[in-house]
This record gives sequence, structure tokens and C-alpha cells, in this order.
Amino acid sequence: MTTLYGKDSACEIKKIHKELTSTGYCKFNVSSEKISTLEISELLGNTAELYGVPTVQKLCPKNLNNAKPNTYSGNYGLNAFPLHTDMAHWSSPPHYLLLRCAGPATNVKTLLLDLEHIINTESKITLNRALFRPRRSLDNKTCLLRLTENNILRWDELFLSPVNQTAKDLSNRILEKIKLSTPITIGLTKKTECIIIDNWRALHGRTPVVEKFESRIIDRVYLSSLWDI
Amino acid sequence: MSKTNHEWSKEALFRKAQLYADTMIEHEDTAWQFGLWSAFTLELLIRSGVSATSPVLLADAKDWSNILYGLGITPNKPKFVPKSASTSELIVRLEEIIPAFTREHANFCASHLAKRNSEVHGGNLEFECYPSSLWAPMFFSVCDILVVSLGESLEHLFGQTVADRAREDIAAFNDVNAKSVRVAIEAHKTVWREKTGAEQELARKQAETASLRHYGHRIECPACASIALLQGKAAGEAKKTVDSDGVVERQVMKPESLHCIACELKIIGYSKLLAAGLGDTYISTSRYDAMDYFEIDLDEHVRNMMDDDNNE
Repeated sequence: MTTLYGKDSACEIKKIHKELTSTGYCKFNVSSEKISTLEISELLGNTAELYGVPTVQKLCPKNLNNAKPNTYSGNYGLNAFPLHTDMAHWSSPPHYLLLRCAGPATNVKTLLLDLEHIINTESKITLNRALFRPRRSLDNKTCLLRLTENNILRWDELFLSPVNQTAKDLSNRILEKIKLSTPITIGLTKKTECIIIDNWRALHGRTPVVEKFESRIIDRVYLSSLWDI
Repeated sequence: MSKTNHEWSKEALFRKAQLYADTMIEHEDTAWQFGLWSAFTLELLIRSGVSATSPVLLADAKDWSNILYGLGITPNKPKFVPKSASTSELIVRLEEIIPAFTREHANFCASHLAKRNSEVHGGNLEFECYPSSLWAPMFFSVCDILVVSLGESLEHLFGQTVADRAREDIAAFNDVNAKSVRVAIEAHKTVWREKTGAEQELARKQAETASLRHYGHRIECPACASIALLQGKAAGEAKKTVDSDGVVERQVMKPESLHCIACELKIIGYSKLLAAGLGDTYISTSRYDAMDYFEIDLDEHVRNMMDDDNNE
């Protein structure tokens, strides 16, 4: 596994970019717990600022009752999070997301699945005709979305709603294929461990949180692009 | 990275056109809703076609705040409501932007959208009296030009089945040779006029007796005005309804040939029928007994209700 040592890690950053391009994700280490999550993000690419969202978000497991209904925890609580694209309901979701272990939990894993493998049997006509919408309007606007467009692949069974029959049928097939798939399982068990995910390609999720691992904390940062190295 | 597309972006407008096209094709093309939703679809395609160059071109230029909005900047003007240019203005802009979009296409769009205005603003059922054969081939031609300019296809807009039908309509519409059918009709008219009144009456009666509904769709012959038979092929899936009398199957049929027994006029091929003004689809209705349709074997049901067979 690649280890980043700070600013002089051009060769390691290149390795991470390469793996990310080839598989849609890359797990790596940083040399010290003292390197901040923001510093790690800035070593890899352009950190994205999302309006109303902290640059570095602290993700902690929450009970269904303690979480807002507009969040995954507010819908799934400590159960498994289904595989999804972050901000799939946005017209253009963030391109990359960095997850860094800030509170280890050995039994809770991050799940990853290449969406390309799920939808590659669908015809271009189906993918272009299937229209989805965010389940709730954004800024008082409701725009129609495709699951594939402008090099973006997206999926979210909760925040996206199928609009037409083509989308309803496609949605059922995707759910069935995801159910039959075997996602890659990755644990973040040390504060030096991170994963960067291509959010336009790989779906991610979470295994259930058992009570003693409620202290699991993940730092999340979005990136709009990677440095051209 | 953005939450929403600009409401004037070509993507947002094209997807809405797709949604409207879905509603259009849910209706039989003899229904007025088919015409009305075709006009809504066309309007969004026109807007998307203009926006492909820049959303700014959609702005109503009378107020520069609209131009600002088109650029993606929300003006500070209080109570600002963005206003886009009228569709007739956008049709003019489209002529400048897309070389394949000619004056003929522009005129069709203006006339089709005028029908839409009459439909939504007046009490007359405008599309009820506007048979689809009069507008569908040109409508599909314009759609084809616009979707190609957007990097899309008729299949993306309408799905495979309707896209296939659209291409047939476009080919028929562009078939110059098909127009020769009008000469054939005139020739049959002349021969018909030369017959005596008694001969005409006898031929008319024979045509009426022989042209049974069972064999095709009965229409008036364009040459002699007797009953003629139109035969066609199924277009799309049949719609089934179940009522107390059984199962009713309604199938939209696209005409393929016409035969008049009275004056012996024969027209073969959709493009010729279209050129003769006989291109309208028709509905073939079939009724079935529910027991036959669902292949229900009553005897088997009765047998299943008995105790197990026993060689006692």
C-alpha cells in the first residue's frame, strides 16, 4: 500500500492517481497521524467547497432517532448503508471523495463497487431515455437526471426517484444486480489510513455498525479534480 | 460541481422534451392528446436547439436582466422573474443556428405551435380536427434535425419503436416518386366519369358488399367516392381492456394498401397513400370472449375441485 510522506511524495501521488484511474478507488497510508485530512486532500488535488457543507466533515454513526431524515443515518441508522454515489441527486456531483480514519472501528467496513460493471449491459438508448429526479427539489428546482452523462455515472436508491417507466425498469434491474454483486470490502483501522474514491464511477457504502463500534469516525473531503502530475 | 442544471440549459430542456414525448406516445395517434403533446415536445426541442449554442440566446432581449440570467447570474433586481423569448422569435434564431433547419421547417414549427395555442387558449379541440398524417411526417423530420443538432437521436427521444415509425414517415414524406399516385387517381376518376349511371350504381353496390370490415378499414375511394378497403400493418403494441362482454383489443394500424372494387383503383405503399392524403392511421378493434382469450379450461377447473382420483 502506498504511503504519502508529505509534500515530497510526487511519485506516491502518481501511484495513487494510477490506481484510482484503473479501479475507481485507492487505499493508501499517510506517514503520520499528525498530517491533517485537509493537507492530505490538498496533496492529491483540488479540494471542493460545497455550499453549506464543512470542507472536512466528521462522519459518525448515528441511531435512526438521533439523525435528520435528510441524511443516510436518518434513514438507515446503524444498519448498512446501500451502495451509492455521493450527491447523486445533484446535476454534477463531486468528482472524488477522500475518506480518512479519524476513529478506528475494526468491524465496520467501507464497501465499494464499480458502477460501470452494473450498467454495462444496458443499451445507450435505455440509459439516455431513463429519467430520474432528486426525491426532493434542490433550491426550489427539480431537474431531470440521467444515470450516465458527461462521464458521470451515478446511482442512489434513496435520493434519486425514477420518473418514467424506462427509469423504473432500469432501477429494478440495477437493484437486482447490486444485490447479486460482491462489493470490495475495505477497513479503515488506523488513523493513518485513507481511501480516495472516484465518485463518478465507484459506488460506496458501509457495513452495519455494531454497538461497541459507534465511536467510528471518518473524515470526508470532496475533491473537484486531481493534480495533473 | 453544481446542484442543478440551468433551467435554460440544452440538457434540462431536452430531458423535459423526452418526458413530454413519453406522454405523447402513450396516446394513440388518432387522439387529440397525441397532437397536443407533440407540440409541447416540439417547443422544448426548439428551445434546447437554441440553447445548445448558448442559453443566453433564449433570453428575452427586451430586458438585459434576462440576458444576465441566461449567463447563469441571478440579477439583483427585486421580484425578478426570468423571461425567455417567444417561440416564434426562437424559431427565427434556430434558422440562423442550424443550417439543416430550413424555412420550410420553420414554417411548420410556427404553424404547429399556432395549433397548440388555439388548443390551450380556445374552446375548439384543435388537434381533434388535425389528422396526424397531415403533420406527423414533417414533425418527425423537424425532430430528427433538432435531435441530431443536440448530439441525440430519435431513439433517445421516442424509444426504438416510435423512432422506427418516424423514420418510415420521414422516408415516405421525402419520396418524390410517391406523388405520381395523384396522376393515377385522376386517371381512375376520368374512367369512372365515363361509365353510365347504372354501371356506377352497380359497381358501387358490389364494392359495398365485398368491402367487409372484417377484411380491412372502410374508407371513401379518392377516385370514385365508393367504399374502398384500406389494409395496414400493426403499429406498436395493442391496447387491451376487459369489460363485461369480454376482452377488447385496440390496435393502431398504419395503412399499407388501398383497393377499390368499384373503380379498380389500387394504391400500394405508405408513401403513396400519404401523398394521396390517405396516410392516417386507423384503429382495428377486435373483441374476444374472455374464456377463449385467457385460454381458461372450465372442465379442468371442475376436475381440480373434485377429490383425488381413486380406482376404488
